[in-house]
Amino acid sequence: MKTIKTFIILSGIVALFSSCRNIIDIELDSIDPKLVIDGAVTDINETLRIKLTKSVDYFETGVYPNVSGAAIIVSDSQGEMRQLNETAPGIYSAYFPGIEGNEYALTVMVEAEEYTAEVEMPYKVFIDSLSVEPTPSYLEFSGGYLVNCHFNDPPGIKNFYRLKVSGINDLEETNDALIVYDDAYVDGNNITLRWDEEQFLPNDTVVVELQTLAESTYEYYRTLASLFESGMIGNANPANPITNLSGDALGYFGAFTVSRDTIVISE
Amino acid sequence: MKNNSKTRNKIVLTLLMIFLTISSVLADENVTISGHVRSAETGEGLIGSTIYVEELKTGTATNAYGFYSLTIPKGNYTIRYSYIGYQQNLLPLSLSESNVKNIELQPSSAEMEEIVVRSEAEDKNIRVAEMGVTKLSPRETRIIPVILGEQDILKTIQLLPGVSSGTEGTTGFYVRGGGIDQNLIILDEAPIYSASHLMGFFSVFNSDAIKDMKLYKGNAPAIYGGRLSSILDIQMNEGNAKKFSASGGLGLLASRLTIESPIVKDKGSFIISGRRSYADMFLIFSRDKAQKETDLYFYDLNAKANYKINDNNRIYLSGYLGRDVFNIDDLFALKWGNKTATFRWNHIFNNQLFLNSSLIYSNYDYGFGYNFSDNMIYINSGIRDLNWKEDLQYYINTNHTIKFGFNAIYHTYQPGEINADNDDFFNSVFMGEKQSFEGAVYLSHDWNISEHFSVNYGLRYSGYMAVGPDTVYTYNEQDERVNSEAFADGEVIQKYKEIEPRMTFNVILNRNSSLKFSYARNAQYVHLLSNSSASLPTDVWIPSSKNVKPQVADQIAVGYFRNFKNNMFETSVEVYHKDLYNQIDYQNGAEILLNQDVESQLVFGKGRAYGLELYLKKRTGRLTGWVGYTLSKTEKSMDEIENGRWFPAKQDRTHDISVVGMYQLNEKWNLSANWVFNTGNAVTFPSGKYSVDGFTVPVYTSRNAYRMPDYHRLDLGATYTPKKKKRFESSWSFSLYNAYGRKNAFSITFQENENNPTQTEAERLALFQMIPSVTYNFKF
Repeated sequence: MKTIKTFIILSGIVALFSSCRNIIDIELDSIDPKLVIDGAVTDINETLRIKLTKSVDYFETGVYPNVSGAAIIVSDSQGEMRQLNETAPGIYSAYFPGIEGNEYALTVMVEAEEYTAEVEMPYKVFIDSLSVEPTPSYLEFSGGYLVNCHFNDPPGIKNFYRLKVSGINDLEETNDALIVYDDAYVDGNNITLRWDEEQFLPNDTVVVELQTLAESTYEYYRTLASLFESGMIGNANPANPITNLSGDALGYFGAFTVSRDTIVISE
Repeated sequence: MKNNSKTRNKIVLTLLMIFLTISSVLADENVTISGHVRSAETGEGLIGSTIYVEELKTGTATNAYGFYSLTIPKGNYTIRYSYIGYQQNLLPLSLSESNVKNIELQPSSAEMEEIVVRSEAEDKNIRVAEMGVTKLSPRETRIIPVILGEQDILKTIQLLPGVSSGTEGTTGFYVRGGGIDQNLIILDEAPIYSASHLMGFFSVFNSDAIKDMKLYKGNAPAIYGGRLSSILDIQMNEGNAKKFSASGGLGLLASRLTIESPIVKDKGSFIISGRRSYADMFLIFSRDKAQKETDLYFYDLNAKANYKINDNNRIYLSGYLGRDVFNIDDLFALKWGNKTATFRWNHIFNNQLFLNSSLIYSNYDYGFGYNFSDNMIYINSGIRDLNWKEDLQYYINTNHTIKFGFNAIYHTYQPGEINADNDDFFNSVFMGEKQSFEGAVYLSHDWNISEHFSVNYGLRYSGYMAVGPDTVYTYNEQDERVNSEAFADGEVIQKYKEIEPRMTFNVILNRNSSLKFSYARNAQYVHLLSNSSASLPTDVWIPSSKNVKPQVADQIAVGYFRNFKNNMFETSVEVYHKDLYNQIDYQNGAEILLNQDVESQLVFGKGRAYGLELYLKKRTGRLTGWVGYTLSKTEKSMDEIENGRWFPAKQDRTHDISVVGMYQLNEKWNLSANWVFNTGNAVTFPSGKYSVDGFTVPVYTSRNAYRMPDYHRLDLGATYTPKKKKRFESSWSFSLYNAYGRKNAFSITFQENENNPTQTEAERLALFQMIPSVTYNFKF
């Protein structure tokens, strides 16, 4: 199993020497805005939502123009086909619950261009149990508790996972950690994934979400996460995440199943 | 292919003919004097010392073992033996028959250097048919200031034109646009696969154990091969054959101790040199528990012994062991190290034919471990080489020297082995070993055609064979395995071969200037895959295979060399052009770590590099030093990266300037300073951004289209040497790295502003501003 969060730790060595971090001015080229497609088929939302926006220059404020007036069609390998309606500017939706093993095809027609993508809904892997342990001393924070997620990886097939953990009151907050795994070297094992990003305190209710990802969705997340590594071990050749979208579009058309569980931290 | 082998036969035949012709012109009237030139102080052989016949205005130089052979007509001569930093020796000789003359030279004191008349030997850069070569001994570079006071030859060579440094403070270097893995670094002939300690901030070469080093910037003679861009040939000290002596140093980062002694006086000697860092000792004072529990150190051990069996036979045994350890409690571990051993036997057949046989073992292993959900997982990789070399040198007369020999290497690669503390959780995996043979035969000829022309030319014929047991996969465009083929033990999987002609032609215009032309082809059968900006043991060495062809480069260079003021100043202008084939890069988003199908992640293409190098060196006087300037361009083109558009290589630097100055203030104080400037490396920065699933994602347009900010830095140093007391010598070295505190960008990270996530910003990480250090050195 390859973890995405490699050794950010290494930057610790820098602390041995005098180092300093400053925000600096850099001139970057301006680029033509590109279409961004963001959406995924899941088994927890009956409504499929696709969001269309445009990219902006890097140092502009992060307000991304919505793209309206697109024609979006999604079909599956069972012969279902639906057109998505623009329910809010740039947001397109339709009733389309994801079913394990089905293939989904997306067609977006906008501004006289056509973009397509295909993805297969993976089979669901369920959380077996959750457990709690005191934060070990070697992490950057201490005094609280970490949450473990236990599940059985189905043998003989490639699986890709994403783990999301948060306090029940923070569910609506945006993610700041993107943690994905594949099952290379752990295939068929009883797996424990520990959430090292954040610790919890007694009486916190913690929601754990195990997503089983389509391979292309995993590839997009994996290559995206590698861009967040920085400093001494920074990615030597940063590049746009690998997408399943055709044409020049950014973003992805994903598919994943979700297994959720909650646990209350006790001492 | 047929034509190819015909040409090859023709070339070999021609070489053979020349060889025979030369052998037959050996007149009976000639006599040969041969022997060794050694230091009177330590008894060590002096490499490259000059033997010059005044009357004939010709001469020769000692080889890597201090041996020389000079064949000249009978007669009366004055022969001058000289070596930098030593008093020359004038020997009147009446030669009527062949003779052995072993010479010992006395070291000259600093004051004497001022008055010694510069000899003809000092214009070697003009006379010898070699280009792009730099020779350095730690003695010459001792007072150049370095970071944390730890002397480092790899840091010194980065100050030469045509050589540029890797990331800030690291020992990785690029020669004429070639990659870091295109440098062959050999320590007593044993290849060192990773020359870095402590994330690359220090090199594995303990300067106390190093005698001499020579860097060839891609135009090496045929005896060398195996890498495209450069050969760095480092020789270890042999040990004092006269008396016991010890030396050492105490520094902020590391301490060193060397002892050397005769085994039998003037017949054999040994040296043992050790070094250990203690950076982690400071961590005990850290308040942070994880830092407290951190191990962070390296050590080196160099040992060498030699023994003279009789006048014609001498054996050498040398070894190196170095290790780096970096553990952070139960969280993370990094380890790597080299082990080498070289056994050499010098045999003098007769006064004109010298043979060196070497058996070489080299092992590099590297690994890391990390905590995965409270289980430690270790990944180990390695390379092991067994190498047999036979090198013959035939000194026909002062106009002809022939060198020939062969080299056979058996490589064993261990691409990766995964060990888990808890096997139920993580499946331990052994990715299997890969074996290959690499071999070469070579012949080269140094020929002084006339007073005005000399040439070194030669041919190296190299071959490579990957052998089983192994399973080889082929991949489709989606990087999926489409075919697998199993090979039995010893079965040949893939063969490659390459003819590598080498030639340097020297036109000596007058006593002070010459014009040189050179061409060289080099082939390389091992490759380093590196996906991070620092030299980490997560980089992976891979051999050539069915999917990975050997890299090949052609380099042509032209240079003008001119000395001034009785060789006080040495200047040169060199231009080069290099074409590189079968260059390796990754696809965007490649996964190279722990990937059994790593070959599917690679893309192949070509490279080109060209540049201009200016060099001005002041060799004598109170003020010595040099100024080097390089103007260059290095580009790559891969069909699968932006459709083959030429893009700048990461190491592409338009301007690179180094100024090095050393000043002898008085008998006690030596001052030094160096200043470097270079254009920032080519780098990929984002141009736009977008939002997906709550993440702000950068948009990249083209590879390496941006530049890091320009880099510049001044270092200052001073050495204080009190008066020698009896046999005890000592000195204090002070240095200040980055004296004006320039915040050079080690990296630039693009990120969201913590307080305002809609805003993105660029953060510069700068290391090493104004680092002072002090080192105490002693010798007795």
